[in-house]
Amino acid sequence: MEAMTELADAVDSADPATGLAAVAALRRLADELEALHVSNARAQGWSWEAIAVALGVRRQSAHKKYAKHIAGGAR
Amino acid sequence: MTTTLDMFTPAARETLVRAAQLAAAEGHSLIGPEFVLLALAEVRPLAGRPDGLGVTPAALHEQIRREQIKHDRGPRAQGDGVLLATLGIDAADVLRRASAATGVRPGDPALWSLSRSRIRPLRLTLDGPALRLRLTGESRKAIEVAAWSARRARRPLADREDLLWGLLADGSSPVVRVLAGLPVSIRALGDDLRTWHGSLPRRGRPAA
Repeated sequence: MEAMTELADAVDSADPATGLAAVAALRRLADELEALHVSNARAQGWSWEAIAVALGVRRQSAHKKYAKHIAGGAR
Repeated sequence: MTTTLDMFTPAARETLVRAAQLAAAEGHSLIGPEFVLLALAEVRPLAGRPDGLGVTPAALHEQIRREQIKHDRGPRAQGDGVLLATLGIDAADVLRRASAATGVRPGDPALWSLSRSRIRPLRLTLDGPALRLRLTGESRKAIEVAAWSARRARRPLADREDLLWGLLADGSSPVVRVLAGLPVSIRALGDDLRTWHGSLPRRGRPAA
C-alpha cells in the first residue's frame, strides 16, 4: 500500500497532530469492534451483566450504550 | 412524528446506513446528500432503470471529490484507515475478520438508529456501531420529502426511489451540482421516477 510508506514518514516526523488523530481513530475502531462483539454476545444469549464483566465496565454502562441499538437489547 | 429507520424499506435503510459509512470513511461527521446519492448509485436497478443512476459509483465518487462540497468544518484531514496505518493497523482487515467471526455486519441497519433531537428538532442523527453522524440540512430535507412521498402514495414505507425523489426535489442541493457534472440527465431521472411511482399499486405493496 502506497499510503503506508507515506505514513511511515508521518510517524517519523513525530507530528503530534498525526499521532493524536491516529489515537482517536484507534478509539473509534475499538468502539466499532466492541459493538460487533456485544451484538454477537447478545445474539448468543449473554446477559448484560456478563457482557459488562467481560468488558470491565458497569452493567448499566454497557446496557445504556447498546440497548438502543442492538436487537433484543431492551430488557 | 418521530423519524426513525422504521419509516423506510429495508433497502432504503441500507442506503442510509451506507451513506453514513461512506461519509465517515472520508472523515466527515455530517452526512451530505451527495453521500446518499452515492449509496443509491451502488445498488441497481433504481426506479426501474437497470443501470440505476446511470453512472458508476466510482465516477460519481470522483465527481463528488472534484466538487469539494463543504459541510460545516469539512472532513478530517485523513480518514481513519490512513491514520490507523500509521500505527501499523489495517483497519479494514481487522473489521472484516471481526465481522466474519461474529457474524455481525457493521452496516446492518438493525444496529443503527435514526433519531431527531428533542431540543433541536431540525437535527437528525444516524447512530451506529461507534459512529454518530448528523445529517446536513439538505439530507434531512431529502429524507423528509421521501417520507412525504411514500405517505402521499399511501405506501407504508419510503423506498430508495423516494430518497432519490427527495434528493432531486431540492434544486439548491449539491446533488444537483454533482449530477450536472456527469452525463446523467436529471430530467430523464425525474421522468423515470414518475413512471416508477405510477406503476406502483396503491396500498398493500409489500414492505420489502
